[in-house]
Amino acid sequence: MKISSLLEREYGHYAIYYDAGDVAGLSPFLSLKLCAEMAGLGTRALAGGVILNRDHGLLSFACTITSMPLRADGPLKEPVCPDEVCVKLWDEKESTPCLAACPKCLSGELTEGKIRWMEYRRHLCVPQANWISAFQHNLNRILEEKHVERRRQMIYGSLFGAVVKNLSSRDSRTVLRVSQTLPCMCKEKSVEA
Amino acid sequence: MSSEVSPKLYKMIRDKVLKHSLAVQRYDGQRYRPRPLTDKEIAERLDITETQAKEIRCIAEIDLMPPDVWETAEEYKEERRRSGEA
Repeated sequence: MKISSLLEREYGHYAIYYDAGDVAGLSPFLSLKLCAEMAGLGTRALAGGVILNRDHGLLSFACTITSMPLRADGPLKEPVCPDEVCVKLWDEKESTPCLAACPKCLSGELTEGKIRWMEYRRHLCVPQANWISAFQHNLNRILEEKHVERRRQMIYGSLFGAVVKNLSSRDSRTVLRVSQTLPCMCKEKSVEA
Repeated sequence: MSSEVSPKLYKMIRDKVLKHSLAVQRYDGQRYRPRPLTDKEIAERLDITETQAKEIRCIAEIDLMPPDVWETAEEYKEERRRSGEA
């Protein structure tokens, strides 16, 4: 937002901040991962194709669309993922920390220190991180319940309570709880519990 | 169910719609193959309207998740958090 404002105020070019909103369902208007990759901020990782930066690991990206003419850096020539540690682990155990953390959502293979293939099953990953779909899914289950007392228990119960709470709060604890693959992708463990 | 999509149509093609969408992404180290399709491209391939493709995709993205997946995820994350891994 500040960059957009700076570009318009100081340089006289149109600029608009893009906050990665979804066009419908889980599909974004514009892929920030693709933008980051094309800008040379990192490369695709074995962990679901997220962009890993060579110095900082996993990053959150924001985007500004502008009419200002800019020269693109272009994609990095050498992949950031896999890290040397992961290559060593793969050679020993044929697994990596990300594959071990998310076996339902991820599968893949390394060959000669590089990603040979990776499959990311997003619809199975979403429940780990997205509570909006959890709300919709559980609301439907509650509405389907014919027994009044059981329905009341479902509404007041711990799961639906957690779902609603997670919809309304974004504190650091929530971020940690939705980011179970974070440690293996952080170069510096700067996140505090 | 959206008025744009009949239950019959939804059940018939929801798996195909998800298969062509971003639901499953396969990367070969250089690019995504096959390339996930947009709603418009899915509609053209399955001979439905773009709105129908979008609605079916949105519904199926949630509908086809296993019912106990949130409980399992929540327990797993809580365990990880307690053990200090996250």
